[in-house]
Amino acid sequence: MQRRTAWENIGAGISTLAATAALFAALVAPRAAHAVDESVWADLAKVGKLEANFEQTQTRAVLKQPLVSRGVVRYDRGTASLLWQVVSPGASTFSLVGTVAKMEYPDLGMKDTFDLAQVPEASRLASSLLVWMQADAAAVSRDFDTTYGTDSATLRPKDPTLRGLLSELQIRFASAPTRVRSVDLVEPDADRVHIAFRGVRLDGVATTDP
Amino acid sequence: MTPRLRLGLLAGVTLLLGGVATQMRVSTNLADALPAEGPAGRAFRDISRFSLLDSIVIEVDGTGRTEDELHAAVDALGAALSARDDFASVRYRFGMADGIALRKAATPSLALLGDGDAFAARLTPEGMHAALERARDRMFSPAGAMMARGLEVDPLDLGGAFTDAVMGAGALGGVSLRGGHLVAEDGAHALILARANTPALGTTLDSPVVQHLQVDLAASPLPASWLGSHRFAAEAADQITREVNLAVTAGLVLVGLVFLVAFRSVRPLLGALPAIVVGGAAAAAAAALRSPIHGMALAFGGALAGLGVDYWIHLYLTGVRDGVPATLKERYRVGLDALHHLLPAYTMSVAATLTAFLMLATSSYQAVADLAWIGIGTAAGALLSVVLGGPAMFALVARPGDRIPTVPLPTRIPGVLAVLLVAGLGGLAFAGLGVRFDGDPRAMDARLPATAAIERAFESRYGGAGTTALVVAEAPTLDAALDLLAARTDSLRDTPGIAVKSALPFLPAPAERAARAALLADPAALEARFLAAADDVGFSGAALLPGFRASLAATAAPTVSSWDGTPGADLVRRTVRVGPDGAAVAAIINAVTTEALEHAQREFELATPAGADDDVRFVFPAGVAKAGAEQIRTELLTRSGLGLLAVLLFMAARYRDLPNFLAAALPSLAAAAGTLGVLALFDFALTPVSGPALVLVLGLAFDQGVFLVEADQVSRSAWASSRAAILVALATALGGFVGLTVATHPAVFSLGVAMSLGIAFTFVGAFLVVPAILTDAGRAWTRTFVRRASFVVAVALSLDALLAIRGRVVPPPAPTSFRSYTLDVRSPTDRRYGPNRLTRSHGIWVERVEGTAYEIGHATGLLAADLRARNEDSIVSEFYTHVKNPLVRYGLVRGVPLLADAMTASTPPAYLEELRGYTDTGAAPYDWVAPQYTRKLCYHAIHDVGQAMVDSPLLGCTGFVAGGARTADGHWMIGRNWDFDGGRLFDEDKAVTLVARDGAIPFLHVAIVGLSGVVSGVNAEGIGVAVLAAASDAPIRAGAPMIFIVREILEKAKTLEDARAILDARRGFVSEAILVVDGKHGAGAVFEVTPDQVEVLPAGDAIALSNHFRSPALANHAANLQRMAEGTTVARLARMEALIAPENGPIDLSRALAILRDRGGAGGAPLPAGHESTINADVASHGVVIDATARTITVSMSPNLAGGFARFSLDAMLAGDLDGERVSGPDAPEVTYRVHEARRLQRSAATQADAEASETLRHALRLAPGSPDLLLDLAERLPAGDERAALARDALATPPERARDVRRANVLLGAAAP
Repeated sequence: MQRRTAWENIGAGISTLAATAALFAALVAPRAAHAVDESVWADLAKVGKLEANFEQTQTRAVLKQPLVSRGVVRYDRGTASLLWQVVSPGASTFSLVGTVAKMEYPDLGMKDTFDLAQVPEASRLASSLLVWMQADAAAVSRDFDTTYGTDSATLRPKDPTLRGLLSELQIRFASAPTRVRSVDLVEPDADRVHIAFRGVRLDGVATTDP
Repeated sequence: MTPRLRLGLLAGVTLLLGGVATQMRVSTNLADALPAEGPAGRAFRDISRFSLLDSIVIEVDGTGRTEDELHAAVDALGAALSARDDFASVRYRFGMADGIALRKAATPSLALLGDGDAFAARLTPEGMHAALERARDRMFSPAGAMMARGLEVDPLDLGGAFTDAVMGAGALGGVSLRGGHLVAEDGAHALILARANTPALGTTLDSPVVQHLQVDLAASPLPASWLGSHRFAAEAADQITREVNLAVTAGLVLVGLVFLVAFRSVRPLLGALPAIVVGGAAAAAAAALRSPIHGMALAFGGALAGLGVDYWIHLYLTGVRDGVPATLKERYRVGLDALHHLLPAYTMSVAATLTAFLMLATSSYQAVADLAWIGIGTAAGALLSVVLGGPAMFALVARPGDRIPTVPLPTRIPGVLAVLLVAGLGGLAFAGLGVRFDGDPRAMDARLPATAAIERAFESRYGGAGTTALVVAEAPTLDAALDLLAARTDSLRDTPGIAVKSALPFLPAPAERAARAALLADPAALEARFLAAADDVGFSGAALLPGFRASLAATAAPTVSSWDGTPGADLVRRTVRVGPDGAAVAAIINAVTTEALEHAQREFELATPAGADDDVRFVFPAGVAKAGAEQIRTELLTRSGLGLLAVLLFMAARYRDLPNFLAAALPSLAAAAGTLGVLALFDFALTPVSGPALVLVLGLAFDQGVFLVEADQVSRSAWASSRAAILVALATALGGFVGLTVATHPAVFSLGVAMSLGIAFTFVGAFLVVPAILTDAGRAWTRTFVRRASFVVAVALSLDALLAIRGRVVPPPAPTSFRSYTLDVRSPTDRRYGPNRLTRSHGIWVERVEGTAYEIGHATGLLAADLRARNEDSIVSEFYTHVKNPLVRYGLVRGVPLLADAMTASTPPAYLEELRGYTDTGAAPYDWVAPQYTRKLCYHAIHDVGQAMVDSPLLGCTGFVAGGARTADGHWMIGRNWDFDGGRLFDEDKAVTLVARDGAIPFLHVAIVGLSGVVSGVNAEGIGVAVLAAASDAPIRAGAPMIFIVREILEKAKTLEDARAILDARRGFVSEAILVVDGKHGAGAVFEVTPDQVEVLPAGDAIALSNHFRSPALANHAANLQRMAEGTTVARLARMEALIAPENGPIDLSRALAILRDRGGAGGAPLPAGHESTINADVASHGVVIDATARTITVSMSPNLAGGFARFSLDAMLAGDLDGERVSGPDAPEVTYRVHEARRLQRSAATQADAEASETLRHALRLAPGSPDLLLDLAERLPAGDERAALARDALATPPERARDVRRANVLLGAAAP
């Protein structure tokens, strides 16, 4: 069994939480069809449960071709639990409950559990992202420089450590109801992870894919 | 000499002795009791240096709770313990921070760390491909970004491989890392591993570490228990202290009572004070001169203080026997007269004591030598006190009217009673020859019930006590020590059933570093390989190349401090010692059972290069302690025996009269015979504690005999006073020791029992036998008896000599010339003698011999010189184990050689010449029993003799023949397990031997080195043979051992017809079944052979076989039917037939091995491990698949079939290639070891009382759950009730192994026996 380092686990937290947080940017409350502003975060807290299919495309300098994976994401605000389940091409599962994260690779026969709270840096980073996901507008403005555009928002971390891992987070929204269409995580070395969401269900209610 | 002068001298000497005594230093360090040199002392120093005994295991019980609750409880308790100063380390979770710290510390040395083979594999094209594929697959996860980062830094994940390996290395057997915690296989228990700051020795219940543990465990959220040497030491110290204090207090009270009852006054007791003071001062002075002296020796020596009291009692009673005068001056004169009368007795007593103790003083064990010198000091002090102070004390304490106490025993003993008592003592002496000596330290170590229960639970979950050892390497520098350790632990890597932990993964040895450098010597080639693999997997090689180069350039050698703050720190700091005198590094070996550790020790010793010094040693604490105890036993026997002999000679010189000599010696002879006999009859073993105690008793008994004889030569009144004195002396001695017999600590109990028995039998000898001897009639009778007894003994010895001579087999003459070479011993496992060679491959001896028959035997004898004594010791040990009755043993030892003539007449002469050649190469340890040639010939009949014992547990085999369409490649094969329970020799030292005798067909067989016969083999003509035991009604008659007949088949047969002709021409002892296949012509047959006839069972393309006949002519023999009805042969045959059935497909090697390893019952139903109705009952000495067509044999590696299999080719070995090929890996060796341990416990339970046996059997059941035999044994030890019935029902449902077990179960359930 191979172990993950803290940074790899932090990376799990970053990309997963960021993507899910971005999803929560979609609100059931009506919003201006194409204009997004800081008020969007206030509505995120109203969504109790989220479920969506995702397609993740990694474009990296180390890869000859982009790496595509597909799966399902589920979030429950009530239990503060997150599940990120990759279905193809290889199965893996990431879950986060509080600060305890679990990763499982059935095909590789690997399973691991770790507590982000054991590593203060990882814990702080995770907390920052959780705060953003919890739609704490004050914390968002404290931890990120945010630029709003048409159907999009670009978040740049203020924290140097997080900035070392993530240059910016680009979120695209769909409307009626407002929700996230895709997330792009841009890394300092120009590597990019593009995650597109389909079949989004908010509190059990299905939305129509654009 | 005036009284004042005497007393002045006495006071002066006492002061002087006291002054010397102040320099006495008492040690509790066990090292001070052991020899400074030698394995025991060195082992103890190693154990202390590497804190082997300082580990503490804490278990949290989460039964019925969730895993998260269990983990939380472990975290809470672990944190509490970590906050204490009592521990050098507390490990309770392995989390992210640990991984980070390890990775960080490993980064500068990535290319040096981790397993060498794994590193080399990772640098191959396939290895690189696999590593990159894994990385790519992990990138699909949400952690893809960070996987990519890690990939850029360390593309081959060398850091991950290292971290995984070392994070899991700290765990015990039966434990895995789950959720960052050490969790047992049942998922309900988790461990905390701690190492105390203070050594275990010297720990008491009041020690801070014990107190704090108890507090913290009580506060744990979930139930928690702890175990470790600190607990054992604390409880033992408490138990011994309490019990000895109680016994001493009770003893003092009893002694006082004896004095009061005997003398009706305390004055005589006061008179004994100087004797106690002077004797004690003398003993302490002797101890001071030997300081530091261990407390054990001092405690024993204290028992000798009574010697001075005994001398005083004799003096006092001698003085009062003719009346005590009124004046002080006259009383002094009477005392002086008494002293003069007793001087001869005192002199004899002191001389005998000094002689005996001087023998012990030469012991290499400091504790024994110290005890002897204390004894010498005490004896000298006793004499001094009575000579210088006795008369004065008599004058002071004696008063007119003092009388000799009445001895409530008859003065005249009927001769008949004395004769009966002597006969009884003779019987006890004979029984005492069978007394066991138990040197196992566990037998001297008591556990409180609660601790024992925890220990049993831990053993069943994680492996048992006595299963940890060290390999210690010392060298001038750390690098040199690491190299030594790496080289010498390499042989343990593939040893089944053990785990090896050391600092080597963290501190790679120079040889390993050099090997890595060699692997990295061509970076360009490695880079090209890497780029190709990256491209193939879908990565950009150019993007990953910098990280690849950097990781392989990370070759900074780590230091000890490199690992501080990481999970590896404790292991590194604990197992590495660097000082101005050099460096020492240790590897910790954990094994599932003691047997597995003993096996590992043997593999280590075999891998020891010839001439290697002690700089690398295997330290097996339990084994060393046991060997040390055996050494004590040997020393005691030899030195005590010599001492006894010297004293007897001394007495013979003094008395020169047979009755007086016997009378003087009889009390000590009675003490020895009676004590050893009672211990043997009740199966109490002599121990390292009670053995020396017996020596003390013999000394005490000698004194009593001497006093009686000396008194008898003076007068009847002297006789009366001596009897009274002896009675008081024995009573006070008994009072001092009888209190120990109620102790619960085994060491204290054994001491009390030995001393009490010895004193009691001294009494019998002194009061009930000696008086009868010392009469006129008694003297005459004694002379007559001794004459007649001597005659009887002479006749018996002559008869024995005649039998020995009659049974002596005349070997064939040695050839006048034969080829001889120079023996080349390159290592214990590589010995060469011309074209002959003995080596070891995959844990199996491999031998190649050629030449004439004599030359083959001669070569084998020289090549196996190191194994000869060990092998014979093992055979003799098994003989004693299986044949317990000494008379039966004697009958076999003298009787079997009488069959040698018939064996010799029936055995091909070449094999006798081979035996001659073997035995001509040197002496063997048992030549005093019978000539080596005679013994060797008889050993070859063991297989047959064992079978002659109906339903012998020694033998039971299952096998099959298959060929043609029934095998995957059309080859003809035999597969079989040889379930010969002849001891570990046949399993651990099994040998594959190629024999190429001049004029005979070369053949390959598996047995042991030095066995000239064959049980399983194949020849160069493609004939494969295996012999299985069977039974018929044909009478057993002496003939050629069957294994010689089977060998003859291999050396002569080219077809099945040839084999049949050989069987027709020769007849063996007993009935056997012979499997024969012809790999060249494609045929197989089963020959059912009895001493009268040979029958053939048609084999077709496949047939199964076990241990009963099926041919029409033999199937209905009563013996055959009885075996089928009562044994396991039918069940095993049925299972084998099911496994080889055509619907299961053709059989290849892999399937054949799986068949031999099968543990299933009828229909494949799983049966408990070790069930004797299964094909694999964890008892096979070897499992073998003989491919007669390819001329290969594939042999099992110990233990039994669980270690793996290796294949050997006859053709390759003929060409000189003796290396085997490993074709199958281990198959749960821990299960096999546990079954063995369960059987050992079952055997020990047979001699225990019901309560103790029940606990032992429960423990055995935890190791071998569901065993019907164990269930029934346990049920039979329990009182009638629900549990007993439930156990019997479970056994019936399993099902039981044999018909008699069904009957046992039915009896237990109250049903009528069928």
